[in-house]
Amino acid sequence: MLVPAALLFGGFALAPVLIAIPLSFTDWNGLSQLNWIGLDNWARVFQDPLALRSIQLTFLLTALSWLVQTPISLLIGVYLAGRQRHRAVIGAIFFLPLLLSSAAVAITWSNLLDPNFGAINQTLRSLGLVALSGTNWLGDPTLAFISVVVVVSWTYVPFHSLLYQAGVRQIPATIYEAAQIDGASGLRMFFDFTLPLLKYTIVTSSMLLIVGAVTSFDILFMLTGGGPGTSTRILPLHMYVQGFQAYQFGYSSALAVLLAVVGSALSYTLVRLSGFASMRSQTGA
Amino acid sequence: MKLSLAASAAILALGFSAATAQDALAPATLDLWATNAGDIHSQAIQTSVDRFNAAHPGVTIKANIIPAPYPDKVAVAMSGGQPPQIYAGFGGGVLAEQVAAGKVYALDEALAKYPDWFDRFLPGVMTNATIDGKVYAVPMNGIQPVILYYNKQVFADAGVEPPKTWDDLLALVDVFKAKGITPIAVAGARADAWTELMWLEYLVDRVGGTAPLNNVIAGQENAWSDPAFLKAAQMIRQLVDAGAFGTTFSSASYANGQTDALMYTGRAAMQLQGTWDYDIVKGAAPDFIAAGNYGYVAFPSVPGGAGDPSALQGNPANFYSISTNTTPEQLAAALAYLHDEVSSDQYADDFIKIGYIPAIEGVGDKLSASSDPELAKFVYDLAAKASSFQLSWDQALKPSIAQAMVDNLNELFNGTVTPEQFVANMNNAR
Repeated sequence: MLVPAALLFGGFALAPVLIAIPLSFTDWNGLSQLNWIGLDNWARVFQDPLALRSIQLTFLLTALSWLVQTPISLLIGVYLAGRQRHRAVIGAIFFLPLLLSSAAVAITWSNLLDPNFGAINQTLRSLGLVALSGTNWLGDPTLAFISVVVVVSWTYVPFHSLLYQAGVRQIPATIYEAAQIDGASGLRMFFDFTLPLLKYTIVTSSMLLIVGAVTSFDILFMLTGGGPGTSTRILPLHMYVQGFQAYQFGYSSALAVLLAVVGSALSYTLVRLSGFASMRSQTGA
Repeated sequence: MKLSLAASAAILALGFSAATAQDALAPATLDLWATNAGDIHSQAIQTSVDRFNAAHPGVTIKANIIPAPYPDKVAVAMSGGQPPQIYAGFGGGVLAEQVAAGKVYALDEALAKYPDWFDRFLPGVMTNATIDGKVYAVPMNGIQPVILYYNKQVFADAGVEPPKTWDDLLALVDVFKAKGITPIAVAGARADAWTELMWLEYLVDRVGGTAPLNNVIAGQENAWSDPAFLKAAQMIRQLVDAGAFGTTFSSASYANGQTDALMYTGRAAMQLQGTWDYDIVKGAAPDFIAAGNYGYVAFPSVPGGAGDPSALQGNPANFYSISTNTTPEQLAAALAYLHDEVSSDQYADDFIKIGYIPAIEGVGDKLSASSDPELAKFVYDLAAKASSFQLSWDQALKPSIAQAMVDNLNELFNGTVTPEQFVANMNNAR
């Protein structure tokens, strides 16, 4: 029963990582023969300022993505879980970003954020905010990073809201009814009941979010290309650039292995810290 | 006498094969990849492919116009082992790497069948397609140097002339800044950072001649310490600090047509670009071109510089190569396409009509048929009297060095790397 899933996972997830390990000890330009060079690539990873910077930027993107997306998704999910019909309609509209391909999202946003012809700056200009209307959203190193966080969050908040909405719907209404009889306010109910009962949803969502942020590539590649300069070049982007633009697949493989290790370590830590592994049923406790 | 069935069949077969042995190609389907240099250019490629397919029933060449970034996609296809049979390229270091890996068919092997094939092309251009004495590609469009475009209307309104020297350029920067017009449009978005490279290429050449880059290509130790590189980097900073490129250039893109839009909407005064840009602007803003407002001059000279002011930078041409990912039938068809179609007078005339200058001997006489005879003549004169014509550096250099160069240059323009750091980083690049 497990065989098809195991085959798919092994073929598309495990095998590439396993192949990258021996590749990381070679010097290969993608075209000619492989040259074995031992640990040179790995020494380079720890000396290359760009590689170290890309790791820092990856962690920063992950942390910011989590801090922005989780509270927003949580609140929206709780709101959408309400039984009123209009909430379902709003939910359907809100789900739209998830239906768009990441290419469409990145191209649309880069056009919106264009400093000369983009809709955002044009709107600011017509509102009379002339000083702001020249803002270089994707060209200033700090602003570009923030813009990336905003676009990525815009794309994925609907997905996480869906998780939280499902999580909240599973909380039996009787708990809230009992609390209301005891006179609990809405805020208290949220913090004392909803949040703790959403613990495993939060862990699931966070894990998907963190691993997704660590490995995110498509939106960043198409939105900023890692720029301006290298200020949004997170590890997956650096890995791509070193492989497919600088023709250094050995070094790129070392970065790939590093990425796999970092992503796995983060997931594992999260699972351990949250007690996800020893999941206990929460209903009827 | 009565022929037996077998004998008559044999005679028929002999006659049939004799008739078809001449020009017929065995059925084959091939993929052809070319860069996207605007709709007009893509249409010319499609017309050529359609013409060839019609003349050779059974053979189908599928033309694929690949959007930017083109070199990445070829790299991916080659490393994946499934490159197209015919693909465009720029020659230089990238072609050399592909040849060294045995991925490209040496066209010299076809000289037995097609003697004098390469005599048709300009020798200066063919040097970019010749690796270790063998030819690996043939030109497929035209000579494309980098020139300084300017908006004639904007210049007329300001009452100024296009720059002849570096000092003229600096003066113009102040004039246009005062009028709220971006003096020079450049695409500083990371994906289009090769447009910034053109500034470095010309400034280094004007200041130090062709030796500095040649030393880098030759792999000399610390070649980037040549004073010309530092001076050029400082001149770039001088332009940036003077506000020559405006305040938002670091996210302006070329592939999306934004810097061109700045030019034809009159919000920028000048743009350093290749001759391919003329067609692209023609497609985007035909009225602007029809009014004759997209002017052009050669890159200004730098007084006191060691370089020859007639030296050109840019793309001597785009070339088609045949990959080694071919069956014998595909190879025969590919060779026939490159020789009979791409190297034909009809093909050259088609490209002249859309404003290109094919890299063939004697092309100067044919340029009156160009859609833009003034531009064609201008470019031809530039190329004819150029002391040298250097291939764009991101294609001429080894890819890993080219990558580091574009990274560092993008950071130099943005001010996150100083000229001294630029030189140091490039000396350390491998």
